[in-house]
Amino acid sequence: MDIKYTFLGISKRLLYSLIIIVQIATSLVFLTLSFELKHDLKKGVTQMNSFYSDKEFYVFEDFDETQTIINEFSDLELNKNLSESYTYLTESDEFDYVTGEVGTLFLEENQISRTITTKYNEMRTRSVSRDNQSYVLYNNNLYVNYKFLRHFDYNIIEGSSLSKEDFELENNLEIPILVGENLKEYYSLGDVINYSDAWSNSKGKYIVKGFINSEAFYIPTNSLYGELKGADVSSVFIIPIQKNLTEFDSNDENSIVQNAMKIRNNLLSSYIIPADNQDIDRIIYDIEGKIRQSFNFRLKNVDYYIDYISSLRSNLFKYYDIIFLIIILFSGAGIILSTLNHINKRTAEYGIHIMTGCTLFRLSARIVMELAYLIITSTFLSEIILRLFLQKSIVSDYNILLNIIIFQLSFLLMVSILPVLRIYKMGINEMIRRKE
Amino acid sequence: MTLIDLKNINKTYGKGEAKVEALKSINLKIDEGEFVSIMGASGSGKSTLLNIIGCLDEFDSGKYFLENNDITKYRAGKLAKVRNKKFGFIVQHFALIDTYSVYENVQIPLEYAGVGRRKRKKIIHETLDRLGILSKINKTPRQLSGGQNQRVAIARALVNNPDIILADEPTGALDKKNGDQVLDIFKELNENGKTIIIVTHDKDVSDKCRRKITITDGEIINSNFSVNSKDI
Repeated sequence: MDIKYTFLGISKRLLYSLIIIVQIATSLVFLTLSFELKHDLKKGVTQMNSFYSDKEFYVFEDFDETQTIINEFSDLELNKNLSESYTYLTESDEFDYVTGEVGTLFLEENQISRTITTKYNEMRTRSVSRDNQSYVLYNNNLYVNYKFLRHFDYNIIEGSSLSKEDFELENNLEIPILVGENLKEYYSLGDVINYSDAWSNSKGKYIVKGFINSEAFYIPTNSLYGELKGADVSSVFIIPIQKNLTEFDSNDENSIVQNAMKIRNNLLSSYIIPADNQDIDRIIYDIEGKIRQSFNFRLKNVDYYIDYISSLRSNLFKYYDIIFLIIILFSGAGIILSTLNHINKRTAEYGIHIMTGCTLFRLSARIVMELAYLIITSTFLSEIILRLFLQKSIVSDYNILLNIIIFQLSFLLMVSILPVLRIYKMGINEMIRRKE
Repeated sequence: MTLIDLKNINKTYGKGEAKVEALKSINLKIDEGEFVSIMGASGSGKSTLLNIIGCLDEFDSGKYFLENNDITKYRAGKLAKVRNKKFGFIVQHFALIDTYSVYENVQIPLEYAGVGRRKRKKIIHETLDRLGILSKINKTPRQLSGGQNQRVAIARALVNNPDIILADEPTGALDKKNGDQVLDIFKELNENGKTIIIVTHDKDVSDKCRRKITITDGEIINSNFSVNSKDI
């Protein structure tokens, strides 16, 4: 009977109930977004801090605009302001690269095919194990150096990972590669693949050393507040960059410019270089030696900038905390007022129930049940809104779910306690005599 | 048989300077089948007395025997059962739930009494028919006149077949014709054995009752049987 009267209370005042449901649902949507944002931020900061903790950071600063190859950047005045160049590099689509180490050419998503393998995205390959049958496969090439592997998190599902020796092979040897699991039906371990590589301007053979899981992770250095990012490597060849790869084989002016552009792109793509302290001098020396063949630059330590970013993140935390608090205060106050109004209008109804045989305790339990029902309905509504319009979900993350449950219970307590106290204080006599 | 026996009942409202003595050492016995009016000016304590009789309000001191049972120390749950089984309440502004239909309003006491759905339906139909408002069963109080609403309230008070009907200014919101009709219903109920207690400040209403209790400043000053009872 109590359940019947709970539902009757809601259905008989459907408009009020709907207003409360929509109010709570809207608040829950905002709260979920806030929780998620805060949670992501926290997760991202933890991951980034851990990643940065044992590394120093350098930025290539181009200070000689007279060089032919950087004409296109002359108006950017990268040399004048380090932070400006940093901003440009991090925000420009052209440099939307991800890298951990010098020489790494891991580019984000489509960039990899556009920049490196445009012509060879459609690779005609031959699988030896399949009786010289030809296949046309679409895949991306991911060129990595050995150090980068430390910052690239992937799982071998068959075979073995790349070793240091795989990056220092003699010419004409087959280069061991890792292959994404989607290509497993075309290749087997030990298969040899002929290649013609536009980027290295060379031809040779790859040998399949291992298959990797389709999801890998890396830390995008162009994202200030990012976290480990997932990369789809299901159809990727992970190819070790050989030590002597970037040799210039022509002396004509055109080739020099092209090669220099190639190096510049490589370097700018890895504008932030996290490196172990013992390696940094050698890296700087190597890079400077190569790059100076083409244009002037200097390598500048930007650890201070990373510290600045850290402090920025902390401030952002506070900022979100304030927004979060405002959302709770406004939505909470609005809902409590609506609920009180709703309950107030029903005082006479409650009095009549008591007059005819109900107890105050039973009535209070019914009010709590009714509010709980409204909150549960609101939760479903907010989940639908989140899924349909924002591609998010309350249940997507344990922490968010926990936070929402805690919020709802506190909220239920808040909105229940006031009307219940009010009814107890009012007394039956006054309740009955109140006009609806 | 004594149905209601109040012994030395005291009731105060408020604290300190705002303290008001609503009832002072009330001693009152009402027998089964009586038709009683409690009369007094506004603020005299008559409604408080009725609420205490109907277990709607607590008192500070004294004893209350209902059918010789001391209900002074009954807990909330047991008092709710007493309200449900023993009393039928009728108030000036009908105390009907506007969003419920006539049927839904009338069935509330039956639900608390645990009466099954079929039996409930039968009782409600019979009662509404008896009061001449069966055709209004699916209407809401807002669709009915004052007289019809008071009949719905009477139906709700009667469906559990209580021994005692407590009416607080039952004709206060009605015109004379409807007021008289309500009193006629009470008279008929009393003839059928119900004990009727009416709180009123209307002398005409009071004159129609067999026993007239007058209350002034929380004290009963007269509790005699009326000698001028009209119609009875």
